[in-house]
Amino acid sequence: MVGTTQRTAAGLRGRGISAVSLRPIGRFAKTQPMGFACVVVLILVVLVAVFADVIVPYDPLIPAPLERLQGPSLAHPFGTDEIGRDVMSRVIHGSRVSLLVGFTTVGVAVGLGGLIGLISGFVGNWTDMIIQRVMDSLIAIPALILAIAVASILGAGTLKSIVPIAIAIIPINARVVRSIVLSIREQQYVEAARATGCTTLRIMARHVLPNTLAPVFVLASIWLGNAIIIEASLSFLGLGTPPPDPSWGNMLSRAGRAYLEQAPWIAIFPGLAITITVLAVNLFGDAMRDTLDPRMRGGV
Amino acid sequence: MAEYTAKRLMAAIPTLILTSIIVFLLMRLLPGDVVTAMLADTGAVTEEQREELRSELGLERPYPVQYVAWLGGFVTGDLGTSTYTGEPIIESLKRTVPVTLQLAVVAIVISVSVGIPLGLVSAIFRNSPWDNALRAFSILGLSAPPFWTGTMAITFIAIWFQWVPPTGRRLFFTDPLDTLAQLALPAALVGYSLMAVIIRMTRSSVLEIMREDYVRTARAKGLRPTHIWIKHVLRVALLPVITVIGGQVLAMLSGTVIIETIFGLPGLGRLTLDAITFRDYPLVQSIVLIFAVLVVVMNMIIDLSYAWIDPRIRYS
Repeated sequence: MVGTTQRTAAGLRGRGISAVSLRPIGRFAKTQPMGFACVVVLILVVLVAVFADVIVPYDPLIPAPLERLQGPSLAHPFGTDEIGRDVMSRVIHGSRVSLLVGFTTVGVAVGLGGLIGLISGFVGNWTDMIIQRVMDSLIAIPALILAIAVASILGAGTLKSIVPIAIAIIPINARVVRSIVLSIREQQYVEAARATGCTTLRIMARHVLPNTLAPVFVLASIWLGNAIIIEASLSFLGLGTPPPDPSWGNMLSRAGRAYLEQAPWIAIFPGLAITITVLAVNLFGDAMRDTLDPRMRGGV
Repeated sequence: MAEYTAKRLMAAIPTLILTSIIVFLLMRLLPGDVVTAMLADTGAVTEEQREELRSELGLERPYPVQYVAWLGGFVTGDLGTSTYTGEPIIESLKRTVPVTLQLAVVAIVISVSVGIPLGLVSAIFRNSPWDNALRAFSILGLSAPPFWTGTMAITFIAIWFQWVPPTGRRLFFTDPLDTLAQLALPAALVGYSLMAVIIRMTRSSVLEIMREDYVRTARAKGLRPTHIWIKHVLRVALLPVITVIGGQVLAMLSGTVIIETIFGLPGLGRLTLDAITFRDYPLVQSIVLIFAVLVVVMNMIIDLSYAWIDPRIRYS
């Protein structure tokens, strides 16, 4: 598949880069309209997070006691909270925490987990056995419990919440990558590479690693959704981003719940933001899996 | 089967020992001192008080000694004492574990009994409006955070129906009706994400099996469609679903931390959060290991049930 793409790219080089780079996107939009719509939603969420300072109508931190607990209106589309802060501005700023923690965690976990899985699966023998037993033992602790335990020692903080979530995801990712590597290791092209005298490191880097990327990419999309939910759960429990900084999880914690009957909008909008973002990530992951694994097309 | 069971039991022991080492080291090697964390809310603390707490917790001893003492206590049922309540940890667990277990059982019953038929319907009517609606319902279950759906459900049910689930410790064997009333809503919420996974997995697994030759043969023989779906397709399709259910049950157990907090259920999840809030590290450490034991036992049950259903596994 890589070869075909390279040949197509070479053939189209004379006709301009745009024809080359847009064609797969157009094909994806045509075959996976839902997946494509989700990509658009995700790009919008990322843009909102990046330009949060420019687009927020009010400062998300400054209280306005005279405007407390106001319902949704033109001035405050998502209403105001118990000390008069604009809920929409806080939801917009909260997207930064979710995306920052989500993407960083998945990057670290997929990178480290992938590396561990690659070494474990390719080297085999004792290295594999020891790594797998350690991974088994880490997997035995439920992800959220492990994240809570680690977060309780590290203390609350946006960046600190990356560590517990990554620790929870790394072993599962390592195990999946290992199983992919084990099947690739038996392929004839790996045997051929070994026969031509390639070193283990070269085989791993040039022949095995590139072939694990597609399934790992699909996995990463699943983990992104999970990481966003775990971060929000940690913040909800008071172990993630500490107030007054807004995050989708901490907006739903104590204050959000205390005024729930009086002002449900304080809790409705951050929850909707999490749900829509994670939904888009999950549907995008489904679409990617369908595209990369034709056997599953329309399957799940 | 007995030999296979013995083998699986033997394999579970090293995993558990390694898990206990990891839990033990996690609580000690991460940046941040347990004693400092425990005394964080008590204001000015002298060095003497710190040392006193350190020796009370046995932290001045070398790590291997501490580990062996802790694990020995765990195996013999002496988990030490909670630093916050002063209650023996084993007593806290005896009080809370049944509450969480009955929540988990009701959630599993709801999600399995609803999820498998819905997954089958979704596969039979593939690409129909029913299928699309069920797929949307299931992917929503994986995307909505439980602490949000829980908070919304309890609030709007209270506002619209003027009904709040009973709180406090209720057990099914002594107070069945009240317990079910208390558990219905949290169990449905905890079970929703499990149900979502079951629907998706059943659907994909059934669609995969439908393409098998023997199903075509059954159809060609003129068997009734319901007979083919139930006897030929669903029975085989459930194998991967069982594995997934096992994995998800564990995720669900940790999700009880959130749901028990929202619904005021005095279970293991709630105890975990209290232990963390009051920096009760001996308790946190024991709870994490209890969860790990539950996971290992659950995985073993899944492996054994899998081997029981599919004889090829135990003979391989």
